[in-house]
Amino acid sequence: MSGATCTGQRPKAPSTMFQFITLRILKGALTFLAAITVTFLIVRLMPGDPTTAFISDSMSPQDVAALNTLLGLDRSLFEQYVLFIRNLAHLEMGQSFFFKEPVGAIIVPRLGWTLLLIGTSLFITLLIGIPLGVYTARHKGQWVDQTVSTLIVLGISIFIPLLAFLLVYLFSLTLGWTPVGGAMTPGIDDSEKLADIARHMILPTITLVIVNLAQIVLYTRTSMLDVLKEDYIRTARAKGVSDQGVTWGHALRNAMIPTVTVTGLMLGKLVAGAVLTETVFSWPGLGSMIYEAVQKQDFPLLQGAFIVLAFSVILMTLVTDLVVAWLDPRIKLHGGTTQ
Amino acid sequence: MSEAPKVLEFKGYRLGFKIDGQVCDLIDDLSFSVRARSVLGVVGESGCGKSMTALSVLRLLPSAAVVQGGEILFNGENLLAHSEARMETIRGREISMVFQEPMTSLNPVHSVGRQIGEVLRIHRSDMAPQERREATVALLREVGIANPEQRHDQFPHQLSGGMRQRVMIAMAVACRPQILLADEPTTALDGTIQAQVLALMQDLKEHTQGSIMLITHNLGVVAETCDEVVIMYAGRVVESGSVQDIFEQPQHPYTQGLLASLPSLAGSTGELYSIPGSVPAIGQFEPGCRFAPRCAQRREICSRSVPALTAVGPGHAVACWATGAQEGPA
Amino acid sequence: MTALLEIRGLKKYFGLKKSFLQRERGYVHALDGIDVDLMQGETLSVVGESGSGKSTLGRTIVRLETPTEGSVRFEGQDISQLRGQGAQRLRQSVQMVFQDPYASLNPRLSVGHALAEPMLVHGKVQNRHEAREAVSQLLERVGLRPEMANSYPFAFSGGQRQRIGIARALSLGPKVLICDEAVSALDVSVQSQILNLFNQLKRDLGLTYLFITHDLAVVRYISDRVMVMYLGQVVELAPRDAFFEKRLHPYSRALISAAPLASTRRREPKIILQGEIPNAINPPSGCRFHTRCPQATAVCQSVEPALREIEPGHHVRCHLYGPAA
Repeated sequence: MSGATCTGQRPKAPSTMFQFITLRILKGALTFLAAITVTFLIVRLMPGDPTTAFISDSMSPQDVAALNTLLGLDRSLFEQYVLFIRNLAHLEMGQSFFFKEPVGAIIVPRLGWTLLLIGTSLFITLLIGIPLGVYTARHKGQWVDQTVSTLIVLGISIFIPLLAFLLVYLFSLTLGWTPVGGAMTPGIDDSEKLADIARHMILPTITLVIVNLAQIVLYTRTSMLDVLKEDYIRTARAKGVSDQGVTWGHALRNAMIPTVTVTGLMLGKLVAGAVLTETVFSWPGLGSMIYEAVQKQDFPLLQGAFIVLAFSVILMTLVTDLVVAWLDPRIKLHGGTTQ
Repeated sequence: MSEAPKVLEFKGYRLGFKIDGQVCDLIDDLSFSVRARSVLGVVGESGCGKSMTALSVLRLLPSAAVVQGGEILFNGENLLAHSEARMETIRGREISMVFQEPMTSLNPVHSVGRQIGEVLRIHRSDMAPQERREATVALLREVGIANPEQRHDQFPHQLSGGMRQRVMIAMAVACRPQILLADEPTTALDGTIQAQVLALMQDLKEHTQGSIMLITHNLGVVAETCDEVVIMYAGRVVESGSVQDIFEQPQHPYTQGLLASLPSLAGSTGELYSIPGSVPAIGQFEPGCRFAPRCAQRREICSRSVPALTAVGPGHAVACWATGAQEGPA
Repeated sequence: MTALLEIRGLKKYFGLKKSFLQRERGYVHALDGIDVDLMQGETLSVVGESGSGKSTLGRTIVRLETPTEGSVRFEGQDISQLRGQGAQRLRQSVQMVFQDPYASLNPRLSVGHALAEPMLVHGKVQNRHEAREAVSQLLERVGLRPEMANSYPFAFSGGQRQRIGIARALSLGPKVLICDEAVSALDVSVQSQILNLFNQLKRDLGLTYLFITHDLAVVRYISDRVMVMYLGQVVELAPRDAFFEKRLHPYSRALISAAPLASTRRREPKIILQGEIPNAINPPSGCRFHTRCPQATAVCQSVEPALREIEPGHHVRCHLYGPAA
């Protein structure tokens, strides 16, 4: 017996798409605020002198004075907080111990390099991964599926530095096809810059693709298999929809919902999660920066990295939620409950 | 009524199921037909194979099912011999199906109008999109959905169970199929809604001049909506005939037992009859008549030899050694 | 006859809060003012469709839900706010049999274990030996063999599992059984067996039943009294024969008419109600049934009728039978 109540008189209109988006952005902003507030408080409320997190012995007295004013280290907690927020709005996050430059100025270009790398690798991953996942689901049990499934296990379990080193050894050192590291060859002509960067990007991209492809294919395949068992797929076939029509027209959109969620989470973490890859290939991105900052105990830089990371995760989760809401009409119109 | 041509005919159809590597028999020697402009009820309890029978027509069986023999004739052509491409042209156009669970049988991410329109898009490619939309709205109105223009763009989760079932019916009759297969179409619906949907199906059958094969376990629904009935037990037909034959002069002990065990809306309240034992699971059928273990009129021959479906009256046939008209070997 | 259960003004609303940032959207009025007594030794059937609140009523009585308002008295004691120990003790007297025989048994517990557990918890038996004895007796009482105590649920058919469910409900020696669609998921040939079992148990153990169902044929067979619910309210309450003969409330008439009759004899034309069952979040004004009632009048739209006793023991909530009628 169906337990659902029916339509008839509805309550006041639940969120329209616009309301949904606004609300979701608001929630994201609040989460970010909470994250940075925690960052702010941790340093200042820990035992010990909080100024050691911002001022190192190697700084000049002028720099020290400037930082004191900027961060308000001698003022009350609340005033410091206000300054903190205001500074953040100007991307002002203190000065790096090691580089002796503003943190913001260091992070921005490195963020750019990371985004280039992970953006490209994610694009390729999705381009190959989704069709592959769909194909193996439809041809479940056949040799392509079995091969791919084995490779998936390898891809998920592989140790990134090992893969990276292997690739470098094979392609850069032995075969000499690709550069050994870095993002650009120093002193290169502007006209050849693009090609040069592309050449440097090959191996790190391949590394990231291999690792993430496994997850994407796994999720897509599993999700497709689940969807293909659903009643509405049988209904579609009973209408005369062909196999192709069923796969691409009916199953895929439903199957994508979990895949999109996973991709979003993956992307959010990738910003700093490419640490291993970037370090091995000396790619000048955020990941390798974090690695160096940890080694050098460069607190301001780490704090800046953390804030950027928090922002990217929250942003990616937000985007994911919106995409899923676009894919699944049940969500936006009823705020999550079904009829 | 028995003069009308046969639209769909099962001839000696056999179907098995792969379980743990072995193929177990389920449907055995299924033979019956659906005539033009009539409603045939296929009745049985869980595990009798009635749903598989309907899915067999459109060749939508699960992968574990194995067709073992026989024919399913549609206007004389054997559906089992058709290519998949030919079946795709038949599904939704000449033969349609409505399923039991309205909550899960519609795609949640496509609008209702799009799902109905899809049938037209596939089978009536001559229609322009605007024409198609108008036809879809007309179909929604035809199945009794109020505000069809608005409902067209809504999603399944915004509709009640009864409405979703109407949408399923709209999808099924969009191309005026010759025969509609309905697998427990109202079982999951409330009583008053069930009455609405059954009335709708009968109306549509009248004015499209089509036939319906109605799968159900509910004898009340059969008595009220069907012209002819086939009773299935454990994969075999045990009795077939007109609805009067079955309800007024049931011949097979199983049919008689079923009717006697129904609590009646009309009245008496003595102890209910109940058929001893329970329906055998697939893979556990006895040789000979599969109902024999539970039958009060069981004879020695019943466990050895399968009774054939033989006529006991015009249009009325039974598969039983005890009550059928045949003389089996002693 | 004494009243085992006295329900007065029972209301249960479920709030529709969406999330942290959104206000409450309204309430589902699952139960909206129920007044009824369950007399000792009777079988009271509760009939209704989706949204009627019949399942919520059953669950609220056994304290699986807490009432929003109103009182439920069992043997004179108010049980509506019972928690913890008190609720536990209630379970010894009032038990529930559920609909889905496949879902209501823990697949990892052997049957014997599942049946012994409540008895051990409540101290009805002191040790494993006594428990085994008691379990054997229970199984026999519901028509199963004692050896079945060693098996697991997956080995049994739907009908057998339902018998096990009934055995579980009986294990504490309750006085009242609330059967929530207990035969709805069963095949016809099994349903009759279980209905016979219910009747037999009632005779042997002096039980009282609250039988929740949507199947009117079952209602006719098993009830002493019938209560019809619509959108959280009682619309008719009457002794069985009076109910089926008189069919006072238009909804009752429609329900009876809609129930398919397994017979080819001539029957009255079916009453087909228009429209859908309304939303329990925003029930219609006045009489809740007026949107679908073939006999609705102007007053039905604006004034909610009260439940009135038209004849001794026969209550109807309908303006057609009001003092003005």
